[in-house]
Amino acid sequence: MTNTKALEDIKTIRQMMERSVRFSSLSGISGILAGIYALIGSYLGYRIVYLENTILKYREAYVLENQTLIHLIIIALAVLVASVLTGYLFSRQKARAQGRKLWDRSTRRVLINFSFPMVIGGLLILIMISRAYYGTVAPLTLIFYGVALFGAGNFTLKEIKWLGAVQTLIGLTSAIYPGYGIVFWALGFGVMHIIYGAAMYLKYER
Amino acid sequence: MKEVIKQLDKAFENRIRLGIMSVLMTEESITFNDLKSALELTDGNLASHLKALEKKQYVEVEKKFVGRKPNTTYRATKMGKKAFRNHLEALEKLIAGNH
Repeated sequence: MTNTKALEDIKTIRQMMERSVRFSSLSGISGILAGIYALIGSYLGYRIVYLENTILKYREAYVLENQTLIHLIIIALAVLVASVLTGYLFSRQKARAQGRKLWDRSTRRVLINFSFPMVIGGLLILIMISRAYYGTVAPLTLIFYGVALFGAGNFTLKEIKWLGAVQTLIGLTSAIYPGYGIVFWALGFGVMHIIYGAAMYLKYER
Repeated sequence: MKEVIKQLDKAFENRIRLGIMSVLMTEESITFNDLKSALELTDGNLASHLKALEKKQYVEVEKKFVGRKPNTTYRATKMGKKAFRNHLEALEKLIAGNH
């Protein structure tokens, strides 16, 4: 047994241990696209809140008009669905390129750990909307999304943890400044995704 | 140096067996198919190496039925985990010694 062989063996061990645990098929490009969708969504939402009601005081616009609320929810859901779909398609492609199956143990684990905080947060937000605490929606979405990412970071690219931590901080900040929900959404879901996606693309995929 | 080489486990000389044990160190238990996809192996290849590890009692098999489908899972035994740690230690010593 030579030094080189020993080193190679250790490399194999490391690789296998990493590979069995980590879901590595997340593409940076889908992060960038999700960020762009979020920015478009924020822009549309901004226009609805500020222009449809022609009220410059942002807060009333949110709360009073039922129609406004429904429009905003539709935009948010459209952004969510488009992002998830994009993430899925790019991950499938990347998994193929890596010669791995997309639906394996590591994928299941990352999804379970990500989904739990997301579902709990989603239910809490629905409760808050039904009780007309609209101001809590922006901070809660960002905070729960951040917590979900932070937890999922144990089972996929480590950098996701950073993205998660930043999202929770943006969420907390948005709780301090009520009324600027859309701005913080654009920052968290838009700008941060684009920065993160671009960084991951440059680091792992180019 | 001779001592260290003696400490290396013959069962892990093969890269595939080394890979199987590495996965089983991080996973509590894993199905045949998940192991196959993690290691990128064919059925026959994986099965024969698993058999060898089973024989050494480093790996144990659990056969269950999920509904009607047979579900075979593998896990590392205590003995297997210990042997793997020893082997890893020997590899490290070997590298340190050769410097």
